Parts: sequence; structure tokens; C-alpha cells
Amino acid sequence: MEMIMDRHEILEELKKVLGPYIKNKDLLQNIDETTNLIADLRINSANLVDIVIDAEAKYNIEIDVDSAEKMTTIGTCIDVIQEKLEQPS
Amino acid sequence: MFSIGYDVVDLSLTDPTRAERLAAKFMNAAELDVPGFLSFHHYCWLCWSIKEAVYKHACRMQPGLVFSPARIVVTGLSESLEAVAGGVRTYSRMGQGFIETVACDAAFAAELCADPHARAVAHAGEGWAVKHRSDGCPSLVRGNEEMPVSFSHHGNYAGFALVLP
Repeated sequence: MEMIMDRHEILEELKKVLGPYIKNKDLLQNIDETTNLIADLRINSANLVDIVIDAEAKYNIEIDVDSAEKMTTIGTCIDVIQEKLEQPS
Repeated sequence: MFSIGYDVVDLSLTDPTRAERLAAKFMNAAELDVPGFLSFHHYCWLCWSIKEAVYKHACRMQPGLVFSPARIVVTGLSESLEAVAGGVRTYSRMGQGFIETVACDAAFAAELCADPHARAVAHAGEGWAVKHRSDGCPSLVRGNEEMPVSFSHHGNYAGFALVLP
């Protein structure tokens, strides 16, 4: 069954996924879709794959390698997650 | 000009129980033959470190390059942890709690240290300073001279590598 979530709902859950990898939690307060995971949220690049795995668990989706490489900003993360949520399981 | 890429991994921040799932996301099928001298967990993070160093090496010549770890294939990994990936020679070192990798085809210096920027400048000598391009790619500069440098930090470890003149 497909899970229907709008971009705002996806973002609220995404913040929980990203939280453990962000030292300064205040950075999560003013994010928008252009926020870059590494440059703006200062997430260590070594945690990027962890985030993909955690997002898969959070949203019950599977993220392929090509889609994972696109997840560099909040906006592209939401795009990928939304795309996977809309795919029939 | 030669380029250089450097990466360090703090193994205490990695979870051995997730290694298999992580590998499925960024390792190429050709890399899944784990050498006998490494655990799967260490091999997985060694490959990640190599790919990150190679990516940083490539960024200097290709600003805006997207990191595609599955497309950077690690080949010829020796017991001394030398390899070739993305057409570049890589040199890795695994110590108690860390993995560091340099990707460079020229002579280089690398150092794990508490203040990589200061140490890199000190290593270069009088008058050199760190400068970042708009995309974040760093160099050491002195007047019109430029020396490629790469930095990395992860958890308790940080360091730099620079191309020797």
C-alpha cells in the first residue's frame, strides 16, 4: 500500500532522520529546500549513506544507488522520498 | 597541476552491524570480493575512504562534480593498502581506530593532526595560506603560487595531504 505524505510531512520526518548526524541542532530550525546537507547542516560526508539507510527504514521505502546520489539538499531528499513513496510496493 | 584528495574515517563512529547495508548502497559488484587480510567492516570503510579521497581529487579539475561512490571502482588493493580508483593511485593507512587515504599521482605529504589548516600552512612554509574556491575546493596560496591541498575530519580524527612541489 502506498503511503501518501505531502512535502511538509516528509520534511518533518526527514528532520528526525537527519537529527542524529547534526551536531548543532539549531541548524535544523531554519532549513528550506535549498539547504545543503554537507555545506549548510555540516553533516559529515561519511554519514550520507547512513542517512539513506535510515530514510529507507523511516518511510518503508527502498532507495537505489542512483537516487541516493541525488540526496544532497533537503529538496532533493524530499523529491527522492516522495518518488519512492508513490511507487507501488 | 597535480591534484590531491584526502579522507579520514573515525572507526569508532561506524557500526559493524550496518556494514553490509552500507556496502549495498555505495560499493560496486566488482568490489565485493573482500581481501582475506581485512574484516568486511574495515574493508567497507576503506573503500568508502578511497572513494571520498578520489572524489576530492577529481573535484579540483571538475568543479560541481557529483559524488557517485558506486561509479568509483577500487581495484588492485594490496596488503599495503595501495590501490587504483577512478584512474588515480590511492594510499591508505589503517591505525588503531582510523582509516586515512590519500589519492594522488604525485609525491605528497600527509599528516593526521589536531589543526590540519595550521599544520598544512606550517608544512608549506613562510607566506602560504589556505584559500577555498567558491565550491569549497582548498589550495595553499602564496602570491601567484598555488599548492593543491585536501583536508578531512571525522569524529576524533582530522588531517591533511598536500602535493609536494
